[in-house]
Amino acid sequence: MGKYIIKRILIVLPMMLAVSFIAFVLINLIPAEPAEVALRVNDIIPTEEAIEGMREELGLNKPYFQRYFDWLRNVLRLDFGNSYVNKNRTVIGEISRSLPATLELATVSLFIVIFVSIPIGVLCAVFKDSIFDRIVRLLIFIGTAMPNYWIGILLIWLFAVKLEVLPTGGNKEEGAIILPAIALSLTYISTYVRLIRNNMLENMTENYVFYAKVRGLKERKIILKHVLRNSLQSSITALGMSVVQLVSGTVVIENIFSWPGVGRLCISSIFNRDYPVIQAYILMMGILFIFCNLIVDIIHHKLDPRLHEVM
Amino acid sequence: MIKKLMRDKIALITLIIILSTMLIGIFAEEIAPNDPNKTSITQKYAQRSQEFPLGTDHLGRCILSRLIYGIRPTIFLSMFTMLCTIILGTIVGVTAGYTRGIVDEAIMRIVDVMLSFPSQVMILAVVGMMGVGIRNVIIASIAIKWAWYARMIRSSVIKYNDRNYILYSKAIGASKGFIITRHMLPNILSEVIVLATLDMGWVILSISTLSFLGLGVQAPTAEWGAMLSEAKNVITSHPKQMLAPGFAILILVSSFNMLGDSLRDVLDPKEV
Repeated sequence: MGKYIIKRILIVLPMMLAVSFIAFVLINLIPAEPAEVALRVNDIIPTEEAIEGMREELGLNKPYFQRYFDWLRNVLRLDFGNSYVNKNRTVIGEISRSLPATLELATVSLFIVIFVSIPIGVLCAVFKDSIFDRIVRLLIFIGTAMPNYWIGILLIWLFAVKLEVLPTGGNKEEGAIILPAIALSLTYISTYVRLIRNNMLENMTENYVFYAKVRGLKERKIILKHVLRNSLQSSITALGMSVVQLVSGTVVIENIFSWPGVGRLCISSIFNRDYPVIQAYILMMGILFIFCNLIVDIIHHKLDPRLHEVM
Repeated sequence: MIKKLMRDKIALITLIIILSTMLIGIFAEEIAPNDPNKTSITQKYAQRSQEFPLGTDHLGRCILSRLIYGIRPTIFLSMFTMLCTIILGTIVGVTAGYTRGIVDEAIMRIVDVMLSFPSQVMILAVVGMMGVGIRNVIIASIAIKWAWYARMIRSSVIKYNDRNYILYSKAIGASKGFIITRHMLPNILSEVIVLATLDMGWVILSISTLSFLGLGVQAPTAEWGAMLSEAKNVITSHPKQMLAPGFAILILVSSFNMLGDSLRDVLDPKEV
C-alpha cells in the first residue's frame, strides 16, 4: 500500500519536468521573434538595437538548454518574469489575482455536478426505461449537442434580461456566481449522469447482486449499499479528471459572464500576445492535471482493495 | 451494411439532414437570397420579410444568407480537420502496430502524453503561441486528436496481425504495402468511420466555440459561432438574434452524434 503511494508520487517528478519542458518549448515555437513582440506591445519601434537590447534583457541570446534551466530555476521560485503588456506587473501576480475567482467557480460547479448527477443517474438506472429515464436521456442528448456558450447566453437572456433576477456578469454582485456555475456544470452533468447510469446498470447484472437477491436482501439496500458503492468507485476516476476539465472549461464561461478568472486572463493574453502569461497558464494547468491524477489514483487505490495485490 | 443502415430510420433522417446541409453549403451562392456581407444601415434588425426570411443583424446583413454561408466554415473545415486527423492517425498507428518493438514503444509514449493532457488547454496553448486564426485552430485540433486515432488503429492492426489470411499473405511473400492497404485498412476503416462521425460533432463544437471567443474564423466571414458572439452583444435589445445560429449548431451536431451511434450499432451489433 505505502509502497504504491511512494512509487506513484515518484512518477510525478519526471512528469512535471516533461510538462515544464513542453511549456518552454511552445513559447520557442512562436513564429515571431519574442524580443520584437515584447517591444511592439509596448509601442516601441523594433530597431536592430532595441531588439538586441531586449534579447539581452530577456536572456534570449543564451544557448537553448541554458535558457531552459534558467527559466526552470526561476519557475521553481514562482518567478515567471513580467508580463509583456504591463511591464511592471509580474506574471505570478496576474495569475494569483485571478486564480481564486476561477477556483471558486470550478468548486461550486463541481458540487453542482456531484449533487445533481448522482441522484439523477441512480434514479435513471433504478427506473430504467421509465418516462423519467427517457426524458433525462433526451435532455442529456440535447445537452451534449448544445454548445455551452449558447447555453450561457440563453441563461443570461432568461434570468438576467427577461426575469431580471440575477446579474448578467462580473463577480461583484450577489448571486453572480449562480448563472456561470450552472452553465459550466450542465455539460459535465450530462456526461456523469450517463456514466453513473451505465455503471449502475452494468453492476446490476453482476453475480453479487443476484446473490444478494437470493439471500432476500431488500432491493433498496442492495442498490444503495452494493451497486452504488461499486459504481461510484469507477466514477471517481472520471470525476477526478473533470476537475482539470472544469478549470480549463471555465475559459468559455468566464468570457461570457465577464468572470475575472484565469480563463479570461488567458484569452486576453492570447489577443495581446502576452506570451509569459500564456506559458504560465499552460504550466499551471499541466501541473494541476498531474496532481489531480495523483490524488485520484491514491483515492481509487484506497477505496478498492482489489487493486492492492496487482500493484 | 448500407442496406442495414437504410432500414434504420434515425440514421436515414440524420444522413439526409447532413447531406442536404452540405449541398446547401456547396451551392450557397445560388441558394442564399442575399449577399451575406452586404451591410445596410437602414435595414438594421429588420423583421422577417420576403427579402430577409430570418430578418437582419446589427449591420443589416441577411441572417439566413449568413447562416447558409456559415455552413462552409462549419462543416467543411470540420471535415478537413477530421480527414487530416485520420490520415495522420492512420499513418502513425499502422507504423506503430506493424513494426512493433522500439519504434512502437516510442510512438506510444508520445501518444500517451498527448492523450493525458486536457484538450482545451492544448488548443489554447497552440493558438496562443501561433496566433489567432482559423488555420491555427485547425492545426491545434489535429494536434490533439490524432493520438486517439493512432492508438485505436494500432490496437486494430495488432489484432488483425495474427489472423490467418494475413499470416497466409505473409507466407506467400506479399509485400508489406500490399498487406496493409488490401487487408488491414479495409478492416480498420469501418471502426475509423464510426469514431470519426462521433468526433465530427466534437470538432464542430470546438471550432465554433473558438470562433465565438474570437480565436477562430475572423469577421466578417459568416460562421455560426461568430454569429452567436455578435448576437450576444445585443442580448438586451434583440434577443432573437441568438436563436438561428444556435439551433443550426444544435441540429447539425446532434445529427452527427445520432448518425455515429447508429453506425456503431450497425457495425458491431454486440456492443449495443
